[in-house]
Amino acid sequence: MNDVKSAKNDSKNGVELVGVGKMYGNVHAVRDVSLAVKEGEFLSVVGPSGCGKTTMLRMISGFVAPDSGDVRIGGASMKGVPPRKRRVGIVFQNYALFPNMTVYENVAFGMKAQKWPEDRIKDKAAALLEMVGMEDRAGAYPRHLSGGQQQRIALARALAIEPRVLLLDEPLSALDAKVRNTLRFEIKRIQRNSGITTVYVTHDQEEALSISDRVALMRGGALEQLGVPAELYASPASEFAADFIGVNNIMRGVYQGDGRFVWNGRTLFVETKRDPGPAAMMVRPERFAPAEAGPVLNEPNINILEGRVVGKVFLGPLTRVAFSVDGATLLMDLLSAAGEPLSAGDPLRARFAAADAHLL
Amino acid sequence: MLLPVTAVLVAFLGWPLLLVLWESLFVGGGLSHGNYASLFTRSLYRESFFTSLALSVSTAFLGTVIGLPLSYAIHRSGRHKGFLMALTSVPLTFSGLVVGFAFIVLLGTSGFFTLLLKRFVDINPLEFSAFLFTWRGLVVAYLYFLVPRMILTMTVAWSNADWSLMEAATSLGAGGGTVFFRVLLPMLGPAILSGSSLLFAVSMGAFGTAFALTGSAVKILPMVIYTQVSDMSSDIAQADALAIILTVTTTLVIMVYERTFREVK
Ligand SMILES: Nc1ncnc2c1ncn2[C@@H]1O[C@H](COP(=O)(O)OP(=O)(O)OP(=O)(O)O)[C@@H](O)[C@H]1O
Ligand SMILES: [Mg+2]
Repeated sequence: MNDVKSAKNDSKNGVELVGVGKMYGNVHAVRDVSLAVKEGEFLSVVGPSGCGKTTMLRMISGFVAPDSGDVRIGGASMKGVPPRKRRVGIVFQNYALFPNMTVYENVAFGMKAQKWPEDRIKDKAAALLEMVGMEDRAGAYPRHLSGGQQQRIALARALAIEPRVLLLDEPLSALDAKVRNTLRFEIKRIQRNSGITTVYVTHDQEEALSISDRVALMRGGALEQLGVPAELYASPASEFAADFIGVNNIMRGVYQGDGRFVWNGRTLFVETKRDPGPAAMMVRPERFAPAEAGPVLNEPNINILEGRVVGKVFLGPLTRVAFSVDGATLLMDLLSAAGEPLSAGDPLRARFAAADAHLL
Repeated sequence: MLLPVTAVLVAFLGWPLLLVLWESLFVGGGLSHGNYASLFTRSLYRESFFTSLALSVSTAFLGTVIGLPLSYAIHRSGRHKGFLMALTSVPLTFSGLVVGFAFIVLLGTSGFFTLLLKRFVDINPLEFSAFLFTWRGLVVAYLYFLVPRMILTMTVAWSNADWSLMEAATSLGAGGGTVFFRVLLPMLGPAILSGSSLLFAVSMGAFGTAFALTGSAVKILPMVIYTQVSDMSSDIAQADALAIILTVTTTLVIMVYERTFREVK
């Protein structure tokens, strides 16, 4: 979490937040956040509504001044540097295209404002429009474009000024699922090709995990966890992180040491290096599988829980089954096609491997 | 939905207008366009027509320029906003006559401010307040009830404004001037258009304030119409023709104006 390296090693277009904080009245919008985005890195910021994601972005872009701490771009402090001098490209949730300008004029706007020579503006705009697949709509007005098309133009417009950093604030959340899925990978492709340092805000953890180099999870204005997607997925640092990343089964009990965890009087096996004491065990729904009938023989490395089905939800490729064990309700995800249909009241034996349990 | 609206428009706008138009076409019992031709032949009508235009264009322009920053200030005034909005609406509840007399009481020859000013500076009250009784004085008096109209129109526009447009422009490197003229003004354009059109239309038809301030000394079109109706030598048909001219001119000017600026945008 505190991997703020010295600015010298981090190359010229990285972003660093050093102990940054911002209060609104008595609301701590952002509190003491330190993190470094390396040059060319794609960092996603996720977290529940109101956790300070937008405020953090606006401090990087310069529209909000931090109360404490420092924002650095390319190693240089941004204190006193106005937004228009920061060379930061922004993509907004509502696209924010200029409605009175054509697609071409929107893309050319920043280059004109920075007084680029006319022919260079033309070439660059054409190249950008081609990159986002909108070259044949240069003369259209934003109101004649779909949401997805508008967001492509917004991306091209932000990249036109060759910014040092690209900031995106929930750019896809106003779009429908299908467009969202194609556009997220397109953003990723464009980001990788241009090698631009990117901070991407989203409340969709799946989106963040699928396109980011690293993910920062925020909670109440503070940084809760920072890591590569696989790390966040496999070893959430807290119950909050686990819950946000989509672990739905949290079992509270006592860790006895030696790989044994006692939950509701049952002994479960777990792989961990932590010290004995009260703990929470997390198991992802997709890690459960139905077990063969037979005696409950908890061999090391495999845990079996006996309970009853209380309900199920069809989720397309998966079916999510809720079952109760000693009064606690757990969730199991099954491939929809597989196995005999379960219904409420049926007895159920669920197994999971010790390696798939994560202890906090 | 369309039918009742049409019915109301016909009953309260179309039909009376048609009656006025019909009446205006009779001179001495016979059909004639004479009442319209007199706009060109009689200098009183011609001058009052142009005075009304000058007055209305000036008030619409000044009212817009003054109302715009004020509306922004009120929009940004935080918890005082409700109070300031209420205060803004007060002038709208006064009849034109009241506004006219208020100006006389404050700025007239023996008005409060005139006398106050006379104590400190050597002015001639007569010369000082003479201004009030010309068409330029009317501009000032009209602004008193026109600026609030502009503010009310604009505060709605400010609260619907999309500030991310300004942030987008700024982050792209645009300076204050570019943001103002290329982004902010076009965004507020529709509201400014309808606001200033409203001011123009209201000043073209306003009457009470001018009547209270100048009697019938400043010849504006509504005043001339009034004298045609009320004088001993009343000429209803002539008044009707002038009313039609007033209505048509106002409508035409607004249509051309809005069309022009929609295109530019
Ligand atoms: N201009 C402001 N004035 C007062 N409070 C603000 C302002 N901007 C943000 N806040 C508060 O700061 C906190 C963080 O807000 P922020 O917009 O950064 O959250 P967010 O993570 O972007 O949320 P969301 O996912 O809903 O967009 C919130 O409690 C919000 O109410
Ligand atoms: Mg936000």
